[in-house]
Amino acid sequence: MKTVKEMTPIELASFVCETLEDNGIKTTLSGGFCTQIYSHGLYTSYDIDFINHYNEDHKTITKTMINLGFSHHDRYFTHPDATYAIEFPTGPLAIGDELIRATATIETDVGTLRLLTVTDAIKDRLASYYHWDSEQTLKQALMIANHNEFDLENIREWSEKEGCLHKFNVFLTSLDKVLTI
Amino acid sequence: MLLKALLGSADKENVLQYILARKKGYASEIASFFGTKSSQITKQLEALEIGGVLVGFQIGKVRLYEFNPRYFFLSELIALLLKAREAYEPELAERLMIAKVAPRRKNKPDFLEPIIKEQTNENS
Repeated sequence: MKTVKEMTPIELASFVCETLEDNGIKTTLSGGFCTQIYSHGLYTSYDIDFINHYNEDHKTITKTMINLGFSHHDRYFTHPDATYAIEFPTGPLAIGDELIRATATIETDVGTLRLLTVTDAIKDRLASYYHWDSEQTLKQALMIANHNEFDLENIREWSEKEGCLHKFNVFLTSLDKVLTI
Repeated sequence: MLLKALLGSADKENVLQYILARKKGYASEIASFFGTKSSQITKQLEALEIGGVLVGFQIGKVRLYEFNPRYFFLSELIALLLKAREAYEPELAERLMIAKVAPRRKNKPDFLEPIIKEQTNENS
């Protein structure tokens, strides 16, 4: 078994995700670290956000993380041999009003990482752009979209429900590849 | 307060009602409005931020909070708060609704307005 120091960032995330699952805590990777994975490293995040699906007791999470060698600082967990801060935002796993039922997985030597699908990772980044005009998260959405296949119609429908079709059109016209619905 | 049994704290209900009425708020002004300690309000604001209900923005020394537009139960929460506000002492409801006159760019979109409008229509 690799030590935390020997693990790649994805391996570390998969190790944490699987260990928590073994302890009854279902989590899914969300946020900027999904961008790092789906952009194939074009974007770097130092935060690993695991959505705690059912808001399971934080004490169990803390106990599990401490057993893995992490320290608890306010809302974050850090490890002396890792440069990433891990956080557990509250569930449910949703983007806006839409519950997320399907997730993706990545198998590594040290565990299975559950994460947002490409389409949902784009929506997750766009949500911050839609609500807070965050140009940075628009860029992240574009990085994911430019490197992966995704369901454009699904994103358009969701954007319409969010009342943000005008911003969806900014996203659409900013893509490297020309896509039409 | 009417939702204390549900929310576990009158301060939490106060915080949510204040932010619903004023769109934004920070600890000392909310505490001053309700005549309570700022530390108690800060505790509730932080808990609501950790829970994803509110988002906070640091502006100088002040942390300003507003509803998190990405909160999954936002429209349901607003419906509940609006219904509770209807049943408050008229004086308190009125005081909450007297919004401070703050400069706002003309036609600036407000994400809460459509939700409040929809919930108000459903309640009437």
